[in-house]
Amino acid sequence: MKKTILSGCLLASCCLASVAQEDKTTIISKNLVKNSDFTKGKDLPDNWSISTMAPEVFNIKWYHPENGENYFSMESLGPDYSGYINQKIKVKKDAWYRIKIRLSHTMGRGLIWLYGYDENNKPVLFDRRKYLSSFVGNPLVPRFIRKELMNGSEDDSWRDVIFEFQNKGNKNQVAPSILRLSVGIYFSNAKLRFKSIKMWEIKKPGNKIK
Amino acid sequence: MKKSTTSLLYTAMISGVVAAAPTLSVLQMDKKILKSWPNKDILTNEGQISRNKIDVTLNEQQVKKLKEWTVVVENKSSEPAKLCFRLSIPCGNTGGAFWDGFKIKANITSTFQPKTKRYIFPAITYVKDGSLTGIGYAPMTISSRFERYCTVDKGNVTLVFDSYMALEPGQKDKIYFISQTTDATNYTELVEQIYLAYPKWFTPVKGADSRIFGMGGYFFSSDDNREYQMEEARRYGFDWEWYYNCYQKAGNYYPLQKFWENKKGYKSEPGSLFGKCDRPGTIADWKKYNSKRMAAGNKNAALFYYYLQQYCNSEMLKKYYPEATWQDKNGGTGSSSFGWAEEGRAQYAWILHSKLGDDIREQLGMVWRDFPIAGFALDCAIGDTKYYGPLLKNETGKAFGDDGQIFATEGIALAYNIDYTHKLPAKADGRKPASIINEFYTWLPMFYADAAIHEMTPFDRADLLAPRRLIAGQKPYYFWKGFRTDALLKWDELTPAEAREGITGFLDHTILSSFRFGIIPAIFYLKGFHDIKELNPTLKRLVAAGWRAAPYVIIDGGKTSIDPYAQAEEIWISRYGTANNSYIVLSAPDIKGVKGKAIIKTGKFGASGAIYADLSGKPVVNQIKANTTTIEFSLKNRDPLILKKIGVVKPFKNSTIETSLSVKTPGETQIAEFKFLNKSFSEIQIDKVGWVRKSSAQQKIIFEKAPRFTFIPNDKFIQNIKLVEKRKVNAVIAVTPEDLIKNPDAVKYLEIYYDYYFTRKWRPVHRLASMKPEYWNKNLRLPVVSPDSKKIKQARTVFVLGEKANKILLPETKQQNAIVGMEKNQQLIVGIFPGKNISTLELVKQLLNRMDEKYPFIGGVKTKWAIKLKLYGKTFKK
Repeated sequence: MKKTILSGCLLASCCLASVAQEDKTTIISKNLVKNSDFTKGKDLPDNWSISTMAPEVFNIKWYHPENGENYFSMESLGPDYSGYINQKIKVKKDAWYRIKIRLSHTMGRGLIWLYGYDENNKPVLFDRRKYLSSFVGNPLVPRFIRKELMNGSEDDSWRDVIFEFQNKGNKNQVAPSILRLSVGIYFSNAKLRFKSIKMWEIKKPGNKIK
Repeated sequence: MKKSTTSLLYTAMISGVVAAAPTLSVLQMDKKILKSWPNKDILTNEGQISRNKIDVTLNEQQVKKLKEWTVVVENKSSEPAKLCFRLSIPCGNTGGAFWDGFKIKANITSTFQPKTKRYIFPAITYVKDGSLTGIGYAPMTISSRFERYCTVDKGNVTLVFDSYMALEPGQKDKIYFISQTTDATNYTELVEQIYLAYPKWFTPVKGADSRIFGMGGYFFSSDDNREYQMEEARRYGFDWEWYYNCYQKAGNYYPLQKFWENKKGYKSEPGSLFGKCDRPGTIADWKKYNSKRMAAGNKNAALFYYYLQQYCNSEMLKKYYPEATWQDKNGGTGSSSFGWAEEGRAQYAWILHSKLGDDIREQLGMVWRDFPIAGFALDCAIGDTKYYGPLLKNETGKAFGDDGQIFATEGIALAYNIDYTHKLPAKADGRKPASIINEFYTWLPMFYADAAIHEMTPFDRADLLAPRRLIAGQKPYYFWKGFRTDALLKWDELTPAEAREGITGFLDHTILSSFRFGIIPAIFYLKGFHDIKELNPTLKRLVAAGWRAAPYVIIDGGKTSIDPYAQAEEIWISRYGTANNSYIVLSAPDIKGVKGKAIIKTGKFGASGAIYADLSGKPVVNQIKANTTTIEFSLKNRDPLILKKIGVVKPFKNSTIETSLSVKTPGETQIAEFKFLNKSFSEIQIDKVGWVRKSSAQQKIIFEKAPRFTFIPNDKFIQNIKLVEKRKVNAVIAVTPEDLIKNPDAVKYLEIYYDYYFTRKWRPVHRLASMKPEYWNKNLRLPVVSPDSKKIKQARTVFVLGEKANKILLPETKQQNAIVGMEKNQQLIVGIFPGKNISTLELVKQLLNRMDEKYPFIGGVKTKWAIKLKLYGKTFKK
């Protein structure tokens, strides 16, 4: 039930995002994500942290071959836990942002999750999500819904996922100063690979730039 | 060291199978190594053993078809004891199926230990060649850890069930094991026998509000909208509410002055669901406000008072209950959370034997005593979070890990506190407080809880549906969340026809999963979806009859399934209830459908000689033998076939009978026809109340059941009811002031009916609490007038309530249990005539239910994909 309130926010943000994607938007900042294409690092990509509820359930690998075809791979062996790659990003109040992730998603459920902090790094009530889904392993397929109608792919092809949101507070809560961007697996047997994770401030028709 | 010489060799013959004997051995941890006690200490029947100043007593009894072993342990040493009680049972050759309480592993050829830790029924089985062996816990066991596996040695399989126990010096504890060996083709037989042996643990507490077997959700009316909530509840068929955020601080559920801040006050609805207090005030204000809200709410829905009992306001915990601070394995206090359930920071705490636990239990008693609630709503009742702190010394049911660290799961605390509230004095109306829990991961809170929420869609974790339902037994269980499908389909790319196909797919999956596992979709699934609205009354009835683990139905010529609840099964089968109150549901997930014969083993659940009828009204051919009834079926279009046991052949003869049962329609006589298709004509007995034999001729017997009320002369007048024309109200309610006082809600329903309908039609997706006062069309309310008012003459439709008004406006009508519609001088007079069967209020609701056909509203679809499909705020029907 605790999650339910978050979903209320989610619905609101989804509706907003939907409208946003139909409008013309302009990117007005540089990419705010550091090491967004996983090129730098030693054992793990620099600037990213990894969080899982049960590390033994996850296969997490970072591929950084010489040809530059880097990617970060997450696989969960059980459905009971979630796991993410995270980065904290400074943001502006009321500004709109776009996240663009190049990924391959061959099984289970994923999540793009933004969680807010104030300037002192204390958590605040800000939670925005976009769920990712794959038809592979989904109980609706094939008898209830044809796989052709559903998201996901059976092969390792790459696709872009875009998520737009506004960093907005409410009467009880100021907008966060910092967002934790988490991308990963959400309670399922899942396989996800990320080639790049980028985020920009964007201008939307009607929004005031500060 | 003593060992009893009592020898009660367990050689009972059960269903023709010689029962294998289980054995109990003891292991003890010494310097982080688990070592077995000597072989001579192994128990195979009642007895006592002692070693290392630890006494173990084993008592045995037969409980229905199960053998039950009670193991009592006392630590007389001066050291903590860490013990593992290993119950094992040989079960034949390799190649069979091992059910580990969660999943099945087929064709066992080598030792196997599952890695899964959650959603596990505390029992295991091995099935091969129609023979089942099973062991596990009896449900009254309080334990923080068990492990299960099967071993293979020289081609022989042994089931092993380890129960871990940690005891302080001088401490006593006990556990209960069960075992069974019988004929069966799959694991469901053991679970069914556990249900039958220990029904109390799988049904809601006696006296639980019966609305718990219904549809739940959040309601959140506000002061502005309170009078509309009863109409909204009636429209949706809303039965119970997850009653949120009534208090100021987590851990203080009935406010105490020392914790209260007048400035902060309390939370009212509507607004944010977060824990923000929005109304400054005193505890007396809090109480007054909630009394009002609950009194209004209780009329329409059973209210379950929300709390997250492991959670305590951090400052409060630090100042008043420091000893209860949570301690995890590494000595940490666990992460705190901000803004949930209250506006400050809160964190986990130990709430069993602690001052905090005592205070919480006392407060729950006060909440129950002072407010018209139906019980409690426990959030995050996960169950498997482990506590390692100093208060463990007070607890039993604790265990230890492989590293030797002693812990207790929160599940034992949740179980204790739910049990505590069950024992609170009943309310004046006889209700006992029930507890609905959300997202249980382990068996322990669920065996004590009265109902549970599956906080996800039916297709998010379909692998959990059967395991969780098995643990919940016959208790109500609910799908939560609503259709979260934005991420599932390629909405941007689909044609309208493809989108419709997709929506139908997830809708059908929800409906079939609901019937397969007896899970009632919450209100979020209903809003805007006609098919969910239509399934609800039947589904509620089935769930109240009680979902059963063993369907006892096989498909003629079909293969024997080791897992009748596998997603891949061609036909989904479920059974509800036993004996006279029993139902069978068959469905085919493939839209092409399946034809065949279902053999229902009626003798297995007290329904020998049963005759089944299809609730949809279609005829059914029953081939009835002594212990089976065979039904021919044709499943298609993913429509479930719901069969109800309607009667029995008595005296019994092998018979073939075609049954037709008319669809139960309020206000109409229901008819059951039994046509004997072979020559063995016999008598039919209907065991339900109210059925009367009407005729018997030419191999056909007809029964009728009179309705609780009737429409007079018939229900056709409903179509002529005209409430409003061109925004002019054309109907009135005639009632005397005296009768208005007697029937305020009945009058209110009629008064606000059109205002609600018209307003909500234009604002279908708002929560009721979010409806602003100016949204409503109060000018469209039906005027309430006295029976001699001049306004009556001007009205096109007149609703008449109360004896005096009826005498004036329908003087020649003398009816009881009836709704009368009479045209007089181009005016429709609708009279309400209550009787012994039905009250004025119920009659008005029945009338409105029928008027809804003319003035329909079930909310609107409210999802992102609906915006794209131009379905937002509209309704969908397959």
